[in-house]
Amino acid sequence: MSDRSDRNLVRRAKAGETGAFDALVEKYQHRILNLVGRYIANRTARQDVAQEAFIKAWRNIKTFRGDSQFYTWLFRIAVNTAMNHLAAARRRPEHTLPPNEDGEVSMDNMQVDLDTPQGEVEAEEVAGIVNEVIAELSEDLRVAITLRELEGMSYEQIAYIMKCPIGTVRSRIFRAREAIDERLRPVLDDSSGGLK
Amino acid sequence: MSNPNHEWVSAYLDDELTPAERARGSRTLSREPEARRRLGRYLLIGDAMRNELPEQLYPGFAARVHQKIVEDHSSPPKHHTLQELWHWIRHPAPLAVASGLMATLVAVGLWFYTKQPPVVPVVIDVPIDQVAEIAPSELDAKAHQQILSYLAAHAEVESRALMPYAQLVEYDQ
Repeated sequence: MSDRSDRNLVRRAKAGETGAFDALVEKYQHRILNLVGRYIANRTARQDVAQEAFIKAWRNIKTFRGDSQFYTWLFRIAVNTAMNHLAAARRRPEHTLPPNEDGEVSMDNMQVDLDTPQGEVEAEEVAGIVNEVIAELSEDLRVAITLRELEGMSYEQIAYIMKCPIGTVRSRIFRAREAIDERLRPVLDDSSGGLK
Repeated sequence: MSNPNHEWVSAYLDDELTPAERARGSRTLSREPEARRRLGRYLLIGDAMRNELPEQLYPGFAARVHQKIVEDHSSPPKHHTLQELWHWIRHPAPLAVASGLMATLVAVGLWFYTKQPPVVPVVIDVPIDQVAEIAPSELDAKAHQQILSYLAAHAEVESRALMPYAQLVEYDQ
């Protein structure tokens, strides 16, 4: 998705359209979660910090002048939010766990963030499904989606290589995405707790 | 089965729409949650193919951000309700402390204000024939005219040798 599309959506978000900002969240959520994940190990906190970064961006969207790309601006907000989170965590006392009946703080009282929190999906699982479906696609669809996503080619370039009209390329890429999406949707929906 | 009505979402993602179609696409995305979710999943597919996904995915993340924004957007401004007013009436202690503090601040301010040294006027006796030169010319026309009339009257008296001096008073502020 191009910077031109971002500009359209940012303009709408500035006018107060939450839906336009939602589209930007959809677009950048994985990149921001990836970025925040480099600073914060705790999975739950990682999600909270990413969410906070998006909310800060929404609250300040009117101050975004468009001198830089939207993602650069969002990136800076996310890094600052992650740094603030780390600074606040350092200021907090190390043992904040409630004592047990004997007045002791023990490991039994501790909630360790080792398991996959509810609602999370391992990227590995998603990648597995995507690759599986791509392998099952007809050659036309597989070549079209691969040239687009892995080689970053335009529809015109793909049309030239595949010796077909641009409209056909557009349709093939769409059908490939739809085929993968059909298999992906139940996995993502099941984990969303009904939110998606 | 894929719905051809959504083909534009795929082309929007690839930036393969005309400017007019793109603008229409942005409008539709802004209004239709299903179109946004589809766009998000198409993006996810590309990221997965390029191994660019984060370790964990959080389905519903965008929906949670949206929820938070809507709550933020619709949180009503804080008004003092009758109930809150009743609380202050029933629990006057904090109100009394606040009033006391305010009164102290006002008293200290007044004390400082009255402690300022008084403005002492500077009184100069000037020979009457020099007064016209001293009269400030930067005054507004009406005041200047009054001073000149005064000086004319004074000069008349001076000609009778009764008051050869004028007393000028200046406040240095």
